[in-house]
Amino acid sequence: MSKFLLRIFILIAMVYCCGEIIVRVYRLTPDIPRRLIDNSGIQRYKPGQSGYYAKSDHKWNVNDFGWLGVAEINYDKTIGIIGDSYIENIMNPIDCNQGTQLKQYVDNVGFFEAGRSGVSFIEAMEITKMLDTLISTEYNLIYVSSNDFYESFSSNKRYKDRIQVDLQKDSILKAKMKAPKLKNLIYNFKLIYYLYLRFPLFVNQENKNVIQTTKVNNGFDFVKFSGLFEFCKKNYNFEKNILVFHPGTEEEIIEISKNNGFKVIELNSEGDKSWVLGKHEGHWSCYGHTQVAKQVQAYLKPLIK
Amino acid sequence: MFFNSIDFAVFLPIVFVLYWFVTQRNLKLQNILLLAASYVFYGWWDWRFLSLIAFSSCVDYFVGTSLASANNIKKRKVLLWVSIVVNLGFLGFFKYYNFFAESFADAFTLFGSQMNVSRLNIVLPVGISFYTFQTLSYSIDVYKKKLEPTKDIIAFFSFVSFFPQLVAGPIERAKNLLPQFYSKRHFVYSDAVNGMRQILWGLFKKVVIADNCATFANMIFDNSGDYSGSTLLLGAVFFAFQIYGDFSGYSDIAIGTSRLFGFNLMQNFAFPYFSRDIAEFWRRWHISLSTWFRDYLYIPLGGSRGGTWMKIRNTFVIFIVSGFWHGANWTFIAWGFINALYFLPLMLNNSNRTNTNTIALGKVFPNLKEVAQVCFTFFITTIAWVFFRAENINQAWDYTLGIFSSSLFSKPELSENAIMSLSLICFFLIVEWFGRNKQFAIQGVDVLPIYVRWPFYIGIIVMLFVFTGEEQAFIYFQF
Repeated sequence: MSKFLLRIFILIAMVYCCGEIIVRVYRLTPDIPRRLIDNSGIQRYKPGQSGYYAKSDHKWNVNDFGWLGVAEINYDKTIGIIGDSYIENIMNPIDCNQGTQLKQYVDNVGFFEAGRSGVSFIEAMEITKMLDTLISTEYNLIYVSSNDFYESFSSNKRYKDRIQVDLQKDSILKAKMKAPKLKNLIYNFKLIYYLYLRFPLFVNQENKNVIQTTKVNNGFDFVKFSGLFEFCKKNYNFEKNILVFHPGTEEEIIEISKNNGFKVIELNSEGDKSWVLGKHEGHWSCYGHTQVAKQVQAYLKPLIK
Repeated sequence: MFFNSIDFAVFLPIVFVLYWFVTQRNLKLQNILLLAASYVFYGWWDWRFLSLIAFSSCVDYFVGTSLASANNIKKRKVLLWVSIVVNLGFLGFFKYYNFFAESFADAFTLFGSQMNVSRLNIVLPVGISFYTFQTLSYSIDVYKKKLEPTKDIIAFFSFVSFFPQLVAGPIERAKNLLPQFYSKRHFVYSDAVNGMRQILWGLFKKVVIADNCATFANMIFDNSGDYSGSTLLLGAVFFAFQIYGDFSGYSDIAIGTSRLFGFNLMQNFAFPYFSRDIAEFWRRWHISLSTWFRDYLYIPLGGSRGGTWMKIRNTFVIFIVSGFWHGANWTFIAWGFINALYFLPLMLNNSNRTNTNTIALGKVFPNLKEVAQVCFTFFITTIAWVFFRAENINQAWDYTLGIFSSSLFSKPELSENAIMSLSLICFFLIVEWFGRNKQFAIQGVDVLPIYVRWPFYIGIIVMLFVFTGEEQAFIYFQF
């Protein structure tokens, strides 16, 4: 028995080493940048890091401000682009980013991208505050979907590594780094990360093509959302912020945003070609980003003239 | 719980460790562990149907013990019928009720009168066709006094629900499997290694071959009107490899898993696509079901004894019943009927046992005649699979006509991924060819030196992850 178990163990170890080599040589997973948390409680990346995008020779670089992507601050007017992993866009080269794409249509302003996976709506609003202080943005484009709103309420589920709002106490709950040392360790095991991405554990059983992104969507609650927008009105500059809604965002959320004075862009992904990278990868491809930028610039151009 | 799931990857090592390290000294305890593990395995899918399998086990256990003490022939017959009615009653209700109800209604419509039948919204319990036949074999063998009834209720319940082969076979005979629960199992290194090899090859067949072929088979069958004859033929070939990889892959994992626990199950597939005629194919495909029907249906009906008409009748009965066993749909009956038509000339010509040995035994390559025979047998089998796969008879017929259209000789529409899948099939066939005289294709690699053997294993495991197809449920789960 001990010989059998020993050989199984050795075989697993050898398979693991081979798999690790294959994943690294063929860059089957993207490199993941390390994070830090600043005084305002916003998680960013440690400046100066670089790594490879998945299946690509292109490299990403973290800029001096702690964000990936475009950071143009030498213009009279700067537009902030805020969002989650869609804006962070670690899956595509930087030429596909919203900042680069929008620049093709609007060349007299600078774009500043502040995207990080897991950013909720309320965290995006906090980032607008930070950008205001840092570079005094003219406008902020905030890319959001329904989940980003539901994940903003601490009463739905408390995510300790994300900024959330406690409406009862009328206050922001700051984020804490979750197991940073463990994460640093795990990100070095590229095969495990590849398997995690390739064979997602949290797949909707009824529709296996839909990856479950959140379990806190309890349905639209008018009172809660009204409370959230009241909180935003008190604490953030509404005039500057434009909400860019992902395709498929709940109509009620878009309506209540409009009714509370937000400028709104609704993205429409209908067409022959899919915007996303694949069946198990719902992020936008470079084509998807191009289409998004086309729709956003149509709204943006007249606004900044 | 699927064999190709993370749940099973966690479940199997836990049961293995408990089996060999905790309960090893006590046979009863080992059987209790197997029974508990089997019920967890089955209940993982839907715990409510555990009552069904438990009830079926109870009935057959008590029928068995009652038969032991019953000498009166009438009483013995009644007891046997109790087992048959209960087991086939469950099977008939869950699997065939809607089919019969709708078929009756359709028949009435043919004669001009309307009949409304209420369709029941029934979920088919996974593996019911498999464990029903397994328990039936026990009752019939005890009735025929070919087997001593068991008094060990734990052993019997474990035999009925033995998790490796519970939901998709092989359909074991009580004569072979039940006695293995009576005696102490010992860990044998070579058996365990063989088991692991067979599990590995089974996973390869399922995850790499079947799931990749399924993508193209589904695409072509679902849009059959849009494709040329050559592409339709290719779709049928993809399905032929999908069903073989899927079902024989499951059997390999089941047999391999059993070996890890010290059990020997019967071989269920013996390289059927290398058969030189349809009779040989049926001796090599789903052997546990074919032999079940042979022993409990074909021979009691008279087998190949008697006159020509008797032989023809028995051949059609066994093939059509076998088709119907697969599912409550006319397509399966048609599939059985077509295979009976294929088989009949061989039987009437007394040439159905011409090819009983392994093809090109002792040679590296077959001769031209054998190649032609294998290709022809594979071709006619593939055409029959069209009926097995189609949603209904009309689709099957249109699909078959589509194959034999003028576009059969046009260039098939192949994507890059389809070419990759065909390459994987070629690799698979080469490995199967060189292992064709073994129980499973890679059983013979143990004679290779370790520096060849281990890279081969590692290569197969890496392929499992790199070439994984879109996850599909095992086809035979629905039967």
